Amino acid sequence: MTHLVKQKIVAQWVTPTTLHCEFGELDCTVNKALLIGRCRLYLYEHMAIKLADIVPGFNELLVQFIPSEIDYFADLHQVERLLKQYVMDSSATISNNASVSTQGPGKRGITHIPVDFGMDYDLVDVAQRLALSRADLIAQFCAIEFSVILNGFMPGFIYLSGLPDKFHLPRLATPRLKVPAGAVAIADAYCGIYPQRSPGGWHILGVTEHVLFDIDRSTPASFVTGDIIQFYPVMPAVPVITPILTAKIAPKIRSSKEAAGD
Amino acid sequence: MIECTLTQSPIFIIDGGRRHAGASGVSESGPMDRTAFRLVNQLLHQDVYTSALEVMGECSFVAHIPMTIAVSGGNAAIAVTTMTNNTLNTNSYKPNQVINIIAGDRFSIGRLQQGMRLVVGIAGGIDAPLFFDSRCGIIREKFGGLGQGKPILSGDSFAIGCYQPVGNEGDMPSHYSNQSSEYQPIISPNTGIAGVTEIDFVPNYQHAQFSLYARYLFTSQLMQVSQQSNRMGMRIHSSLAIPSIVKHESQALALGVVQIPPNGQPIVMGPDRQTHGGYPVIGTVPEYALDKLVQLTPNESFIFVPVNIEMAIAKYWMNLR
Repeated sequence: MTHLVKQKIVAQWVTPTTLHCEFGELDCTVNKALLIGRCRLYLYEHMAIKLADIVPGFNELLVQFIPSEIDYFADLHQVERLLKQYVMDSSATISNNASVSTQGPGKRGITHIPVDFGMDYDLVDVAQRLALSRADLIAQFCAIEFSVILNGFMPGFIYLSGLPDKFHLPRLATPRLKVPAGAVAIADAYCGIYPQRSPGGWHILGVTEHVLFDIDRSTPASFVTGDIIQFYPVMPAVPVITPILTAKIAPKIRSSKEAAGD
Repeated sequence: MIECTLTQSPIFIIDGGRRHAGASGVSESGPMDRTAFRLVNQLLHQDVYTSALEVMGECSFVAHIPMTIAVSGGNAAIAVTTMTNNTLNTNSYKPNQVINIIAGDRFSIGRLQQGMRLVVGIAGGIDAPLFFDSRCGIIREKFGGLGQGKPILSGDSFAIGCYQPVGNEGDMPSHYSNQSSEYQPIISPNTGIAGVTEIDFVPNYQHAQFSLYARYLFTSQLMQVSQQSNRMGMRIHSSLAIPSIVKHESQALALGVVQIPPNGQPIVMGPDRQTHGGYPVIGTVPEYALDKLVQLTPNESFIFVPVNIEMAIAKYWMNLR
């Protein structure tokens, strides 16, 4: 990890109110994302009063200032100094091990998310391409501990890292027009969860009911950079019904589910 | 309560935009034309971030309570119809003017004769819930605006903030205070060679990775704003496509970044842009230049002019003055 310290963090003004801080190349995405996430909090600790927003990226932080608070020269140097200082101080504590995130934003330990693998979107297709059985794919997928890199693209859409190389598949040639809300999907080196119904080009493995973004909560997004997520398979939610009633009601449930699931 | 009786296109509630929202994947939002947004609030003697309306075409309203408005941005006829002694009186106004409206008045904004959008400032702002310190709403995000991210459409009603009459200038002699009734924007559209509008851009992000030919094409040809532009991004039509580069990872997008997708037609990202984008970026259009760009009609040509960040900062503050 020490090689990161040698590499430069370059801050530059890209608009009259936005500072773009580029972090040098690093082999491991998990730790870089973690580092960037914590750098964001560190900047907030030291200069919150001047800031309108800090958007974390995969390789950068976008620091947006309140126009009346800007001091171009001093702020550029302060941000650069704070970032370099933080990276220097924390380079010892962040190791290459993905699961080490006991401090900073990811304090909560592992969040277990239920996934319904029953609705078949791309599961069988992906299993075929990876030369696995359906059950093996689910088992192997649920064994992975994912790290949250960031929320991006839409409110609460989380990018997760930790997908083993053999799971890396290019995006769908033709994006789906409707990806259901809660779709757990993979593409390239990432796993992601769609917080709401939208178009998308990722391979959908299953669907979760876990709420990723709720504007009425004090913290709308459920996850922050550094949180650890593990999936577990569940049966589709079917209400407990006595056997006598089942025959009458079951077809109804199935048809309503089909309608909702498109 | 203000009732929108008819509108040609959706009317957006705008303010200074969301704060500290990017890490949740929430768009920044805010006004398309920030100069006009600031100006209407200055005309109304209120905080420059007070919420206002962004209008793109003809619309008419009924004011059920007294209100004071100011319109800026493009140019359109503004008419206020009052009932006095059982007769209807219509007064017409111009943009950049403070207009007092009494309860029961109808006011309408005509077709835009110049520019693409207007900002209607309202004394006291619009009364709508705050999310991330903002009243902006984006339909795809399902929160903010009139509720569920919805803009104002024909038949919708909305409440305004505390009504404060404008015009009491204290003991200032009236000939001074009257000056405020008709403002002129400080920076007029600067037209360069042969009357072509110049849009400044600052080369940054992946600019250095683009080929010399791509960079040359970007600044040497006339471009037009496409009709498919919206608050998310201004799609630009360039007759010679700009050769793009390969970029693998998404990156955080600042206001006004110019993305070059594989088809070589630039997209200038607006206030409702998504937080991250995967296309390579050739530079950013600073706020003051973006204000000019969003007012260009699809048949107006412009040219991108590279400026350094120092120049952009100087012009930004000149425009704010």
